Amino acid sequence: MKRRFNYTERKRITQNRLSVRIVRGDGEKASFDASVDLQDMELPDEASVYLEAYHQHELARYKYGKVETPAPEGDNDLSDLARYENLLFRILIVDESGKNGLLLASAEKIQPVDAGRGRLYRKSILPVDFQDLGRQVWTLAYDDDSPVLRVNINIPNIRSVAKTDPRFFIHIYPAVVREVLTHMIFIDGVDDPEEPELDWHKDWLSFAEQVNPNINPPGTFNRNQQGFDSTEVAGWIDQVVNEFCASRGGEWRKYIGLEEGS
Amino acid sequence: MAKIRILSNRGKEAFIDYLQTVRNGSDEPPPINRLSREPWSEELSPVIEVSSAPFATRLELGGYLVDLFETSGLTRKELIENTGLWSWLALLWFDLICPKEENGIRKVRETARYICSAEWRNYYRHLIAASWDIYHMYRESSRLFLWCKLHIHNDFMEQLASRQDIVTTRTLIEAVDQLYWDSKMKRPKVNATNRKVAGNIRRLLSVANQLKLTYDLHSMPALEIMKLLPHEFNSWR
Repeated sequence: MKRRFNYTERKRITQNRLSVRIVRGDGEKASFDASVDLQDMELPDEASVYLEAYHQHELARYKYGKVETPAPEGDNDLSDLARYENLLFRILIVDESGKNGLLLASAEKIQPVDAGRGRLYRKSILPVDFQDLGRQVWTLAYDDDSPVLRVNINIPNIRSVAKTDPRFFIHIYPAVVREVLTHMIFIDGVDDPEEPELDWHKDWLSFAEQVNPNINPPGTFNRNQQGFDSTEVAGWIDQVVNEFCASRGGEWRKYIGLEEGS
Repeated sequence: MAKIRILSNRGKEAFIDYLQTVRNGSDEPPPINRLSREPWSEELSPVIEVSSAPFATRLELGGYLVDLFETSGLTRKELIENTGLWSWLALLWFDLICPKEENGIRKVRETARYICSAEWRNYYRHLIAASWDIYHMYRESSRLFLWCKLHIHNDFMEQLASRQDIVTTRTLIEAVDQLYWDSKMKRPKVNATNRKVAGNIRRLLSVANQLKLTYDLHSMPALEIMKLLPHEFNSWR
């Protein structure tokens, strides 16, 4: 895993300092409200505040006043973005007093609240997105680093099936759990399970511990550390998947019932 | 001229089947006539007629499509998600985006180049949709991505468009254009994508990822970004 050094003492803005609410207008129109709290962060009053809304290759940028009094400078219109689902926000505090815009502080992956629906767009560690996937039923994408389950929108009634059909759950989620954990350890790499560099690694390690509390994790998850044993790690992943399936008795019984009835 | 249509899921399925038959050695012509009626496709509303004239490069194609759709009243949002429209256009221009080689055989590449996917990991690989989209975002600054013939998905497209944070940073794309475009030859500078050459495009992306941790690249002019690059980029400036 790449290590990042913070030579410029860039500050991290905690997510509770920014809240964003999507406001839907008529038809396809949408905008957002944001509340920004930068008090006591010891940032220069004159530094500029920017908010960015992003998803996949779409990005819209909004000037949000100065640190002293953050406030929108425009109408916060989101209509130019192709999609609002799974939209994320970031905040940037930029020192523009010199020649180059120096990044003083930032926060990424702020999840907005949908004012019309009164809920977060994504709360789970595995957001689900419905897209045209050709002839694939599902795939995992790592948008903004964290995993997203993509399901093929061309399958009839797939939104309902994904939510309620135990066959979908039984056939797909164990494979997803296995793939995400494998990606996390064997592709990304985890240097320190106590303080993983990526937020989603922390969420998924915590999830693995919850479903598998009585099993000791491998000695190390770090591929570059002496003692890393890929067989042991693969066995641990297998146990997590097993325990995950074991914990979903309700779905399993419904699944068996459906199969017996068919 | 042909009226633009939107391939239905059945139409896309039939197009995928056609691609497979060509991969298996068939020399059947593309089924544009068969799939240009219901239930394989439906007419786009509003009605827009599209040229069947050949385009020499993807840049020409992108410019043509941007002009065409700008006067139609359709929004970027409506167009970007309309995978059936892009797939139908790929079928219409299949002879251009999958030409027969000297031996008379077509080399069908990955399906995503012809059947448009809403997922960005595949969307930017679509030879028609990506030409429109990148040109729409960057106009003439998209020439590194699009200078090539219609059937080519070049390394600039692969390296730049596949990275969300890179392709959305306008000033960085402008800097890339200034570094690697050879204005005299009207093509990318030689070896710009050669990974063994110092200061190649992959190295630039690696350096840009470091710079993004310190600087707000969006608010910096392309020239200022170029000044921050280390010595290995001197020969490209």
